[in-house]
Amino acid sequence: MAIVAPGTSGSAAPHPAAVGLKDRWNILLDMPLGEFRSPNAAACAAEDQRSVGTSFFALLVDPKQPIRGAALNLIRMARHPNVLTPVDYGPVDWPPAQRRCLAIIYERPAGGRLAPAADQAIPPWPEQDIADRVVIGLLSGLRALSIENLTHRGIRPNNIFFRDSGRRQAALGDCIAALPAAHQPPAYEPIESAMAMPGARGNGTAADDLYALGVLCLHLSQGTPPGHGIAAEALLEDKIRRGSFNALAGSARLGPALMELLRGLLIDEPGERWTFQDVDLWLQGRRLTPKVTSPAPRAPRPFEIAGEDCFTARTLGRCLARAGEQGVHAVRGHPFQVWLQRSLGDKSITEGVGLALADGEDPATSNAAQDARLVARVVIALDPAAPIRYRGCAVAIDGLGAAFGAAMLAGGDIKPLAEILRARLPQFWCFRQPASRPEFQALLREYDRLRRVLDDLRTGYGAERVAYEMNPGLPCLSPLVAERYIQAIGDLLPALELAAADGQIQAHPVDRHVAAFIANRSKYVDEAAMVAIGSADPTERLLGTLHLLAHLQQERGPPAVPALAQLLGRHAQLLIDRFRNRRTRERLENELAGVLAEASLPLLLQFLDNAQEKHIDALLFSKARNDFGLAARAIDRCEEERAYLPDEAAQTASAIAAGLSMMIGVVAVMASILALGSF
Amino acid sequence: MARPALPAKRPASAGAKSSAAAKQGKTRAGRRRGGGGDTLMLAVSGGAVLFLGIMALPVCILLLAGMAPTIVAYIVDQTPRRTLTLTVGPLNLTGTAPYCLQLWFGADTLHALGAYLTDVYIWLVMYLAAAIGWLLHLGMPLIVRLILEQSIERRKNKLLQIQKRLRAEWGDGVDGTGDTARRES
Repeated sequence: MAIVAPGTSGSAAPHPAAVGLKDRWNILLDMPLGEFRSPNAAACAAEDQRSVGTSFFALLVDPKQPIRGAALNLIRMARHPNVLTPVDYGPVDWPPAQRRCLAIIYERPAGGRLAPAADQAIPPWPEQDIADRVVIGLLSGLRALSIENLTHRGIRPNNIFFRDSGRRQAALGDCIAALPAAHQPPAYEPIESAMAMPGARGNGTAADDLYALGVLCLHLSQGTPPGHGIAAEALLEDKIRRGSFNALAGSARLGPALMELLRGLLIDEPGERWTFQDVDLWLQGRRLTPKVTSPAPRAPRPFEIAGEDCFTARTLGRCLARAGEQGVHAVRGHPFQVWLQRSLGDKSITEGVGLALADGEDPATSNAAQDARLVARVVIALDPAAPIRYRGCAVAIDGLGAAFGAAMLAGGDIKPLAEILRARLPQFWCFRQPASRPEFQALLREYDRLRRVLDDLRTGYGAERVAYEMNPGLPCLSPLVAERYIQAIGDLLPALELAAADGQIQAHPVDRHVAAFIANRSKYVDEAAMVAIGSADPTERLLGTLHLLAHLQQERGPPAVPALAQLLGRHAQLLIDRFRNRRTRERLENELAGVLAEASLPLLLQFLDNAQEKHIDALLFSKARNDFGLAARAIDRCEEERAYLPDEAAQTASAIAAGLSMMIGVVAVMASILALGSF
Repeated sequence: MARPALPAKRPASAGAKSSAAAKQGKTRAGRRRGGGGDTLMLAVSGGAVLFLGIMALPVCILLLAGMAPTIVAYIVDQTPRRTLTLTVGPLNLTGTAPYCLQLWFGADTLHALGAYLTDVYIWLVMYLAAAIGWLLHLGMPLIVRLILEQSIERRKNKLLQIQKRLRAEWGDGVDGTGDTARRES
């Protein structure tokens, strides 16, 4: 859903004139500010209820577009006059789309944008004005971000603002409402970054920002956008072939000072590119000679693939990446090895390709996936600086997470990105870098961990969990709460409560997304509850859900969730039936309504899953079972006795009869003798 | 409810056969063991009868005539404990002894014996007493069996009541076979 300005909404329903944010801000929906909108966000005027005098505007970010969540708080902390830093932010209701979205409040820059569009021609600026009004300010802003280990990755004419109405103090525009470099024109990105997909360029380094600053200076000095009218791919090819400076400024008329700056900033080798200190020295008037970078090794004869002649490893890598798994026959062939060793003659590349081919097959995957993996590894070995390219995806080493989140958010295909993780391509990319950087170790560990999480199919893990792990600002994407734009774990339960109250949740309130979101954002994760939620047994699943949500309510509130309690209470019979004792079950059934009225999930959990009560029930049941068994055995003995009864009865009866007879006989004889004696 | 499996019973025919064989064996053994005793008893009885015949012939004849059912019982009784003889004998003696005593203490002559032997009433009393002994021997097992069966039935009913109460209290699972059915339901 592309976000629309309130005035352009097609909905006939009346919308409120303003929405509130954190009891402080009023975002005036009836005052859209087109001059401040960004590609992913509409802009509206905002009022601060606590103070007057300063003008603010709010960017209302399209909830279907990913943001730089990890950088949001850091940039907010790094307040600087030359950076448009968020004053506040949070989710707000967005009536035109009938859902919630993220609002970011900024102080309104009085001088407006530098240019209305990045690809629009502007009147050329004098070199001195470029240095004084743009370079000084932006350099200061970039340096401030660099101190916080942040990059801007959005330097383009329509994202540069002037703080003052005289348009003398330039400030970097918003860099939160979109992924890094996602909306940069092709000319503004270094070669490696431009090779990556727009949403997968990663945070990059300060060198990338300085490159964009150089292109901006070129744009201002010439008036026409660099590379204007040239297709992105053709411009990239030209940059690769001739170098960025020649491709962008080869035919431009530049003063010697500005040319020196541009030569320094447009060096394609990031390590050789000018740094903040170099630009500072240039601003102070010291003239530096940019280092001349040696061109990439060029083979005397080409290697032909898919009808294209490739003379360098980079062009061959690009051709192979375009060919995908079809290129596997070429890389496995003998001519390829011969060309690498005899024509290209770069030992590092030859060694890398050897490694890529040696460990490139993973028996756990299909043939096509194996081929794609092998080609991707060879492409990395041929051009280690380029992004990871796999099955049509091109992602920077630090852009995989953003691409994953964006694909998940848009409901797109995450399979190639997941396969990149499974194929351990990021790890291979790190290994093939000529110079090891400290962050590579952390990246290696992180990607290994994420691969394990991805392969874990339990609820709370898998692709959903990876998306949340790699994107700290990603809202919960569960269909149950997606419209409420839940970024913080504390907002999840109230959102689920509202969804339950609205009747949107019919059965279980915890799906794979909710579970993964809780697992990622909550400090404490009950693994047993996660396992139970994924169980096919409805009782186990209900119990896991209750455990997870009860813990969430206990930790984060709110104090009462009547709709959720009723929802889970409807299935409580499953848990009551776990008790064996009839009277216990009857008691629980009778008391359930009272517990549900409390609207407390921890209380409900304690009521339905009381450990002591379960223990007593189990003990008594065991005793009853034992008694039943004893009775059954006694009944069996009765039956056995009945079988032997005739014999037993005959023996006993004979003895009784004989005894009785003898007794009568003795008495009778004695009586006879006595009777005769009396005569 | 299915009750736990009963202990395997012996096959009825095999049980009967083995029981009969055991009984026969016991009888033979009893005879062998009691063979000496029987002979001694027969010798003593014979001696007593001979002595009685010499001392009081009419009493002896009356006694032999009156105790004829007991003699028959002794002959037909094959049980080791001779329970039929022990049942019929005392009651037979009950019917015979008064007349023998009358003869002993009265006119102990053959003439008087003739009067006794021709009196149907005396024969009736002596043999009726023996018949009561026979009836007691035949009827007592039925009575005892009835009483024992009632006792077993009462005990079984009490146990079934206990099981019914347990099942009502704890459900079908209490018999150890209902768990699966309960889970499936």
